Amino acid sequence: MYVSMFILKRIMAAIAIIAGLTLVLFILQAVSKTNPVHAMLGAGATQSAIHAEEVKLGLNKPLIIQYFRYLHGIITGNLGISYRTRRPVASDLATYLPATLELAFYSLILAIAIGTMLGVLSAGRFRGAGIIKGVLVGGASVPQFLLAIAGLLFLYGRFHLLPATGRIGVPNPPTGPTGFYTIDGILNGRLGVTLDAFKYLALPCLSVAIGPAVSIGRVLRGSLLETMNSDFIKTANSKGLSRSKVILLHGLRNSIGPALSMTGLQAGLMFAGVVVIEDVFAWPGIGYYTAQSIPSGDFPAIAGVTLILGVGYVLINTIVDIAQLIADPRLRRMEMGGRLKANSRIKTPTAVRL
Amino acid sequence: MALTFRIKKDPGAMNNIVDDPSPVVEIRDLSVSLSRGQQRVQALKGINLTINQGEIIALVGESGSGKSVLGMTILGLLPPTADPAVDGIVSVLGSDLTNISDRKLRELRRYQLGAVFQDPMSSLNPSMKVKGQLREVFEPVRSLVDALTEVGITDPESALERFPFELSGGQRQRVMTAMALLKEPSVVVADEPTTALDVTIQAQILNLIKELRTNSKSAFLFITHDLGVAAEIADRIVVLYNGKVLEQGIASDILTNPSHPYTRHLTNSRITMTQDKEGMLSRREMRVNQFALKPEGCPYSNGCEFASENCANQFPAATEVGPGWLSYCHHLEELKLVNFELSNRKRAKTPPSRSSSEVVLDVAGVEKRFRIRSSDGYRELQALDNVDLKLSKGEVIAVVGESGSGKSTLLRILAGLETASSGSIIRRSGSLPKMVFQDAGSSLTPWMKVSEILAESLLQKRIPKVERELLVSQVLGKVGLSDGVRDSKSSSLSGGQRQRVAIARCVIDPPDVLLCDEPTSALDASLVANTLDLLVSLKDELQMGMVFVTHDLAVARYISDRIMVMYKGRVVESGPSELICTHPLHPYTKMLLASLPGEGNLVDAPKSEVSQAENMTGCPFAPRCSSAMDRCIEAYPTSMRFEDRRQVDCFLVKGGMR
Repeated sequence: MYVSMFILKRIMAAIAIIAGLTLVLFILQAVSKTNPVHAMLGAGATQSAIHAEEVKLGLNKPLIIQYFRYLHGIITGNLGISYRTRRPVASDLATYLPATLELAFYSLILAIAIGTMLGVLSAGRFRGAGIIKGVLVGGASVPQFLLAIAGLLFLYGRFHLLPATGRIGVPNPPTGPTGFYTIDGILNGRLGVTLDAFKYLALPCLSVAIGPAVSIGRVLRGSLLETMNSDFIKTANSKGLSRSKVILLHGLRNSIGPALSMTGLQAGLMFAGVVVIEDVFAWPGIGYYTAQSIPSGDFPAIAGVTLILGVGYVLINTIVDIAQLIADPRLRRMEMGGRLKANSRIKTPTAVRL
Repeated sequence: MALTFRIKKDPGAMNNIVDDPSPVVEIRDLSVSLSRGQQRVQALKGINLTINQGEIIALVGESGSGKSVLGMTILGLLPPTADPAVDGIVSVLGSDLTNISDRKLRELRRYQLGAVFQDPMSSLNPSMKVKGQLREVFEPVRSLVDALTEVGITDPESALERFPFELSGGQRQRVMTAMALLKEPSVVVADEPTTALDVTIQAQILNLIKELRTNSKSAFLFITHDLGVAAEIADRIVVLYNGKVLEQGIASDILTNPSHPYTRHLTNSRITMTQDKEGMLSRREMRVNQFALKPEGCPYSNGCEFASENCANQFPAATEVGPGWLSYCHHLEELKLVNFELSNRKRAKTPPSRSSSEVVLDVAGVEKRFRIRSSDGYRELQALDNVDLKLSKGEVIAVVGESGSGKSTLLRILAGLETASSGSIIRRSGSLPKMVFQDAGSSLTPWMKVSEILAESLLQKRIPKVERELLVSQVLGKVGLSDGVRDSKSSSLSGGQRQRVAIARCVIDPPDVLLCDEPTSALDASLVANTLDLLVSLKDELQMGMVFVTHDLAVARYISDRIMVMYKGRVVESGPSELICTHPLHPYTKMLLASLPGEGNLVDAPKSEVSQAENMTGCPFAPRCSSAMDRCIEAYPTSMRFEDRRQVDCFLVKGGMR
């Protein structure tokens, strides 16, 4: 009940943020000197044709009216016409978005998995924890595209283990229902498609995921080390629980908060990384689409992509907030309104310890 | 001979020792060193100790004595980050912990060892329900509900479904105790299990452990810094100082007739309800570094008034003072001739007790309400309800109460850190009172020099630099610090020195009123004595009024002229200190007095913890009061006033003026 109240509040906040984003986008569009009519009709259009088009698009109306028309368009799925492809931006996005979502989805899962592993292993007293510590420092300093190119050189160029570009190698891939080849393959009974899609995903996913994984790992390591020093870990040990049980059951859950925040942050940054990576691997996603739209000044397309990425970012952070609430019962109680005593205040380690 | 401890002989307890001589833990020649920062510290040296089945051993020592290290060694839980080196034999049920595989050690803990730690809030996993945490215990001998019932939790089924933060402090420690005893382990290590609790809750937990030991075979190693707690619970006492056992034996022997100078020092510096109020607490100046202490010497020889050169060179062999009573001192024979009577030094100047009627602080009808968020929107919490306080020059008022009584809120309002919702506060001079905080160490900026910290309070007054320097030197002398510390950073000072600097900061520009927020509750007994002596002498010298917040009635009685007992934001009883302590009228005051450990009346303290209903219109203490009547629930009693400005809020008290 309280949790659902909290979720409702978070969703309201998310909507407010997205509304703010549309306003910013609209203002940018308004102050930019590009006249969409010029772009649409070409340089040779007559003055009267331009005027007629402006009236048709409502560009002669006051800005406030134009903004509400723009908002109305967004709600009804009308994001304008791309100057470059001459197709509605919404349908362009529908074409490119699933590829990006699939890449981002698996990258995020990979980042969380690798990050958790790095964090837990480097905080535990295992042989080789020092090496993992090195990975955490080194991994954070390597730029994404360098990793991508190194991966290409070795795994594709030298050993021919993985494909270099594109999303799929199988002819006539299924076209629905999710747009994820890995899932559609299973749904359509074509496991070959799924396997092939994973093969194509491997390199781009790894390139996107390593950076965020290292960040998540570092934060998790810091909070895990702090948690492992706390009294309830002593209690767990005094019960004679096995080391893995102590770490996983008692340590990890109480350290997950900061790592979750970091995941939300990284997921947002990952979209930015995707634009670069999609270009390197010729991945037909919205990053690829954006990279082509920017040089041609295709404002509706760029605005559409920005909106979609913004919505994705807000969505992920809302999910992270809710996940944190579920992970920490004290937080749940605080949202319910109980006043926490000073000594029971939740410790959120901010320092990243190495 | 001064009998500092009143001990009730418990026949059952004594039988336990005689009937079951079989040892469960045998420690021979144990030495433990740990690395702290860059240094290696010898935490324990040559410890010999036997714990027999079913007995309670109190391990007594000040902070840094190594008592927790010994407890953790028996549990095999020394922190690996400290890189412990353990030498000697620690035999738990026949297995030597110094020479055992990790897996075997875990199994030993799993089936034979239990632990209760100091702070039950941080010792329970905050994100796991009580049920889940109890279920992890291997081979439980009883059902979880039975286990919780046994430790006095009234509604065990619902407690199982709760998270630790949803329980009260006392309930949490009960859960901890239940968890430690669930598998009926051979040994339970309890590391200061009552230190973080209110006195009434402490009394309940001590009674609980005393009760439980009769139906269980478990032996307890009860680690405490408080001899009074040890007196309540222990069969045998082991006194630890700087990693060395100085005396061990039957509890009643040691407490009534301590043989070792250090044990004597400990018993003497404890503040009891019979403390001479005009006498000083610390009996003598510490003699420092009389002889160069060799590593093999007696660690106490530095502070011991009987120390000879021999003490500094060689640790004495054990002397058997009585049956099972060992003392480690070169000078036991001479000590027998010394009169052990507390030869209290009188205070230099007796305070003009309430002679000056000049009121420096007049508080009337102060209320404080906080808005807190609750399940149905916002709700008001009455932190203070109609509090009056009148403080004269040179007078000390002690405010006594448990956590949640509002005593700290009151102090913050007096200090001007918080504003009252209603009521009036009149300060004689316009200046605000100064405050000594509970944790003096953390109230000093670690990277600033002592002289900078002190001079800082003078900056506003535009005093020339030369004069400032002079004032700093003067105040350091007043609080008993040498001028040499002025250039030290506060982080390099000892706990006692930091406390003195914190006090010096308050009195360098003497205020009319000094506020003290439990300044002694985190200190060792001997430091408490020194600090209280210092505060009293400063108050006399500077003629300050003092409001002293404490949870310890013995400290309150010693330091104050008047006591205010607070419960849930209300002053339930107030009056002259001596009178309140000898003839308490309010049931809550009586309960507090009965909860003082080491006074021999602990058994009368209430056993079960009643759930406390909130938002009552009546007396907030009624749910816990043994003599509560129907009208107590319906309405709050009007204050009854007696002579000497005594006031009691209870329907049972008759004969005063309304």
